[in-house]
Amino acid sequence: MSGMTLTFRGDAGTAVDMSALLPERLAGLTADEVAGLPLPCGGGVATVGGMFEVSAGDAAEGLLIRPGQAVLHRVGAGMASGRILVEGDAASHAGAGMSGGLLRIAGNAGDALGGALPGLPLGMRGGLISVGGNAGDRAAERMRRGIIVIDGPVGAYAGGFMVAGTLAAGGGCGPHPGFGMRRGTLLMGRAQDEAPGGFADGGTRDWLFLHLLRRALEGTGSWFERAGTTRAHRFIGDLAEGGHGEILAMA
Amino acid sequence: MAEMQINGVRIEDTFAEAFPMTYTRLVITADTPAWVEAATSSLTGFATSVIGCGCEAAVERRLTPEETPDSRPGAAVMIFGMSTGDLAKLVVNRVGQCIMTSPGSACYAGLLQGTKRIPLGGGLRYFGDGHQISKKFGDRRFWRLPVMDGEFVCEDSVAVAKGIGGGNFLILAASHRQCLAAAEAAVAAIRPLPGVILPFPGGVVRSGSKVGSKYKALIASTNTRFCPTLRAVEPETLLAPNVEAVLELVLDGIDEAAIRAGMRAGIAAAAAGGTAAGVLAITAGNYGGKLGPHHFHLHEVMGEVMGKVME
Repeated sequence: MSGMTLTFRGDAGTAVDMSALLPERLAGLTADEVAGLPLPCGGGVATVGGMFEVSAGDAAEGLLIRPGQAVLHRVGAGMASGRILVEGDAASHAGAGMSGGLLRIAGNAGDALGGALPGLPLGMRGGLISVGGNAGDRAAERMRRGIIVIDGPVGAYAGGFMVAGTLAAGGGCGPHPGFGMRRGTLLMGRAQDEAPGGFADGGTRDWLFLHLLRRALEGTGSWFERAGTTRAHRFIGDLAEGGHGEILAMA
Repeated sequence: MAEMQINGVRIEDTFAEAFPMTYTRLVITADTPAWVEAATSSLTGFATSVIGCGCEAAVERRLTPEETPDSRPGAAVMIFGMSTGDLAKLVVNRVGQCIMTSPGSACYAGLLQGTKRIPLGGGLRYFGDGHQISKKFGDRRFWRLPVMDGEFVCEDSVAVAKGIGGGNFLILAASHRQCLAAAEAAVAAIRPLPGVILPFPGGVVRSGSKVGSKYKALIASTNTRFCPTLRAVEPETLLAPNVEAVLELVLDGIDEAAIRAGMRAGIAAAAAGGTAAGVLAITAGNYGGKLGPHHFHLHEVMGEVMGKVME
């Protein structure tokens, strides 16, 4: 990825709020200007340059983050456009409230991936999040639009209170998937024999729209791009919320 | 006056007169090429002329699974109308009645950029009776409508753009059989070309019309100047005594270049057999230049492929 690179050089385990470091905000700024920006971390405020080595380049072309041993919260949260690539893990609320652009996390993601930021009613509203590893609890919580694709498993309450959009978890989901889901699609790469609580068994068939999802994921290298089938078992729910959402478990 | 011949076939020094239209392109897919054919035949049925049908439509080309959004066999269909408003009503009706009803079909936008957008699934979604599902992937929104064989997937809307309708040329031949053979050769040459369609049956029209009629209720009537059976009684006949049949090809295209390429390929194919194949002359239909702003002069169109020009 060309563009700007941020390489963490602080102490291992330092928690950093990354929500201010978005491609659209950093576009056009020099490395020195970015290095001088304040950055909430470890219960206080440091500068970007104090925590990261900032390479020359324009973030409008993409932002490459090398987290090292840092705990990076809210990576890409609120992002509207551009590309962020995390060469490692991201902590909680990665891509939360995101409305556009591409967030690619090569490692694992923490809780509330693509979910809602505290105090806000909706989660992700657009764009694409691709995770090469696992994700924590409450992925896609209150998600409104966009696509989240995770190669590994996700934790509990995946797609909880989801309003629309698509969450594709290659490794399946933890307890209570789709809890309170109103609409949207929760796609699981593993078979599911029994209907999750609040869901009705809608039968197994080939789903044409999954071809469209696959086309949308071209270039991400995600599990669903490689999946050779569009045949899935559908569960309709959450019936307590009108039953317009769905969990699709690959057959 | 310059005279042009191709293999002895006289190319008249006249022009085809065409007019602006609005068009869109749909991509139709189905489980097999046969079901693509069933769906598109229905979609493009009764769509030969805007005068009587409201729109003009035909398959632009077949699509391989690699070329379609859902990796199935498909076809690109172009639909031409006189205005965006007309097209908006006609397209959603045709897709609803002809594509949604066809087993295993899906309908996608084949034109993503244009002057405006008209509804597809956005208008048909209510058929889902509340069970329709919207999916937005990237910038494109799709609707999933539950139907009896599963789901009908249909893009939310499609763009429309300015195109050209009414490009044409006429084949004058010594017999009906030879005229038909030349027309078939012309159709075969035009159909692989991008951006141009032949909306009439088999790509050919035999009932060319003129503006007006002796009957007040009619705005158009048979083109008596090209009717061989009226040669003896039509003072303005344009047919030599040895012409037994005339067939016309009407072309609608996305721009002048597409029409010109289609006419060039079609005329060259029609005249390929020369007079030995019974083709005597190629001419074109116009209204004196008063109806449409797009004039395709046959000598200009054929200039690049001329075998010989005799002064």
